[in-house]
Amino acid sequence: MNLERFQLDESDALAFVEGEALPADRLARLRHAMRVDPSIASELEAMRADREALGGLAPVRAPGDLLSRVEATLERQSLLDAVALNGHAESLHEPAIGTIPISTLQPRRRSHVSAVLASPWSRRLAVAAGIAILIGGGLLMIRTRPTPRPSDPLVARDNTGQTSGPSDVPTRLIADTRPPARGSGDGPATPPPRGVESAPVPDPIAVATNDAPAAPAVAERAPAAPMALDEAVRLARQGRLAVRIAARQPEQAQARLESMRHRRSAASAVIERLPADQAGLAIAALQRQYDTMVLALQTQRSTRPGETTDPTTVAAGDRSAPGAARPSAAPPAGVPVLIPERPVYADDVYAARVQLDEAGLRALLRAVALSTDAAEFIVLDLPADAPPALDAESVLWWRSPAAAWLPRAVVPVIVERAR
Amino acid sequence: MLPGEPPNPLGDDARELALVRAIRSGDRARWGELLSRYQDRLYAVCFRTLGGGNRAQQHAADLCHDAMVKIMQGLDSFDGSSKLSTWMIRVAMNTCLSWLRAQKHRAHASLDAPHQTGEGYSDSGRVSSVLDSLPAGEPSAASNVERTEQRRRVARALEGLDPEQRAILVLRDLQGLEYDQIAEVLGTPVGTVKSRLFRARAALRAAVETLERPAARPDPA
Repeated sequence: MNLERFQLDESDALAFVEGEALPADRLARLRHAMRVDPSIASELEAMRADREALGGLAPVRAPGDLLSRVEATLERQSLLDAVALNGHAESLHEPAIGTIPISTLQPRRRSHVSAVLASPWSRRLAVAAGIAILIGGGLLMIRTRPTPRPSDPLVARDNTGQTSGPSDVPTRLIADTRPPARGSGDGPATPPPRGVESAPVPDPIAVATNDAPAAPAVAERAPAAPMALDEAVRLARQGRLAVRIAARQPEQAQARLESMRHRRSAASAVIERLPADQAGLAIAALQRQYDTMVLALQTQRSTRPGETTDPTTVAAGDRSAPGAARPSAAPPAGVPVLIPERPVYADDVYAARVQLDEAGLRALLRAVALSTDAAEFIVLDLPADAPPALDAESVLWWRSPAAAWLPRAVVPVIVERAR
Repeated sequence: MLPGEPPNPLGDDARELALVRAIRSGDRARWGELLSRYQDRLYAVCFRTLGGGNRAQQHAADLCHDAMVKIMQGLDSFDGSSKLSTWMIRVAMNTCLSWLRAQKHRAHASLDAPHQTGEGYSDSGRVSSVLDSLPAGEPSAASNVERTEQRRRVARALEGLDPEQRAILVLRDLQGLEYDQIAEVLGTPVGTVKSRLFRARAALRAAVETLERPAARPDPA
C-alpha cells in the first residue's frame, strides 16, 4: 500500500479504518487515492471488515476456580510471609504477634445460601416454599390428629342389643367376665357360695353374642361390658389379642388368608403364615385359658346343690362357636351348667400385621373371615410373641398416606373348624 | 462497548476508586469483589493475547492467575493516574507478553500450524467456537455463514501474528481501549500506538489473505 505518493500517511489510513473523523483536505486526498488505486480501497475496506470480525468474536469467561486459586495462592504467600516475619522477629527478639497478615487477608466469599438468595426470584421462591411447607404441615397435623369418634357400631349393638350398625360379618366381641366387685351395681351381686370365697377365681372368657343382650354367664356370673375396640387396641398393643375364625370349611378360610399374604388389604393388613413354633405358643395360650375357665366352672358347680355332672351337658354348648359359652339367663336350680367345648382345634395360624387403631382392627376382623364364618377377637393370657410380617410396604413407609403413619401390631389369626 | 462484549464493569470510575480506597484502608474483604468484577476481562486479555485455541486455554488461566496475584500484591503501587482497569490490563498484558517472549520458540512452533489448534476446531467445550460467537438475529443463513467464515479466518490469522501485534489488536478491538489507554498499557507514546496498530492491521490482513488462498497454504498432510 503506497500512500506516500498521495501525500498520506498511516494515521490517515488508520483513521479511515477506525471510522474516525479526518480533516477535510486529508479526507479528500484519501478518497482520491482510493479512486485512483483500487487496491488501496479494497485493502482499507478489508481492514474495516477484519476489525468488525475481531470485535464479533465470542467473549470468553474465566474458569470457575480461578478466583479460589488466586485466594489459595495469596493465603499460601501470606503464610510464607508470616514465617519469614516470625523468623525475622525472633532474630530481633521482637514479638511477631500482629504482623501476620493472614488474618487481614480475607477474600470475599459468599455462602451458598446467600448466593441462592441473592436473586429476587430466589427469595420469592424461598418465601413461597416456606408458606407451602407451613400450610402442608398444618394440613398434615389436622389430618393425623386423632379425633373423637362415636362408639363403634359393633360395640354399640352389643351393648344395646340393637342392630344399629351395618355388619355383614357375624362378629362376636369377647367380653372379659371378671367377677364383679362385691357390691357393685352391675348385674346381680350374688355372693359366691360359702366355702368358695377364698378360692382363687381365674378369668374365664365368655362371649357376648350379637343376638343376645348381656346376660349372666355360666355359673351365675355377672356379665361385664363387651370388649370394645379400644380395649382390643390396648390388648393388641400388649400382644395379647388374637382373632379366631370358626370356619365351616377351614380350607376356604385358609385359601382366603393365603390370598391375602404379602398383599396389603384395604385395612393395610399384611397376612403371613405364622411359624409352627409361634403358632404353638398362641394355641397353647388359648388352651391355658380354656383349662382355667373349665376349672373355674367346675369349682363353682361343685359348690351348688342339685347340679349334674353328666358329661353330656358339657357338649351341649353353643356348637356354632366353639369355646364360647353362650350367655343366658341365670339357670334355675337343677339346670345343668354349660361348660364350653374345648376351644382350640386350630387348623392353621397366621399373623396379621395391622395398624394399631380401631379402624385397623375392625377392618381386619371383616377381612379375614368369609360371610359364613364366625370371626371374633379373643384375649391371650400371655403375649403370643408373633414375629412381625414384613413386606415392602411396611418398610417403605413414605409410600403410604399420612393417615397410615400409625403404629402397627401383629395379631395372630387362628383358623379352626367349626363344629 | 463492542458488539458481543458484556457490560463493562470498569465504567464506574467512582466505584472503582472507592473500592481501591476501601482496600487500601484495610478492608481486605473487598478483594473478592474487586477480582470477581474483573476476572472475566483479565482472562479474556490473556486468552486472546496468547492467540486463542487450546494452547491458549491451557496457559491463559495460569497467566491470569499470576496477573491477579500481582495485582493484589501491588495495588498499593497504583497511583491513580490512570483508570484501575487500564492498570490491571497492563499487568495482565505484561505478564502474558513476558511469558510469550520466554516461550518464543515453542510459541512459534505452535503458531506454524494454527489451523490444528485454532479456535473453532476445539472440541473441549471450554473455548467458544466461532459459530457460537454469532449474535442472535442475523439477517440470513448465507450472511451467517459468511460472517462465520470471516471470523474464523480472522481468529486463525490473529494466532499467527507477532505477540506485540496481537496484543495491540486485542487491546483495541477486543477490549475497546482508546489510544491513550493502549499507550499506558504498553508504555509507548500514542503516535507509536497508532503506527503499531496500523501495521498490526496490515499484518492481520496479510494473514487473512493467506488463509483465504487454500492453494497457498501448505498441505498439513
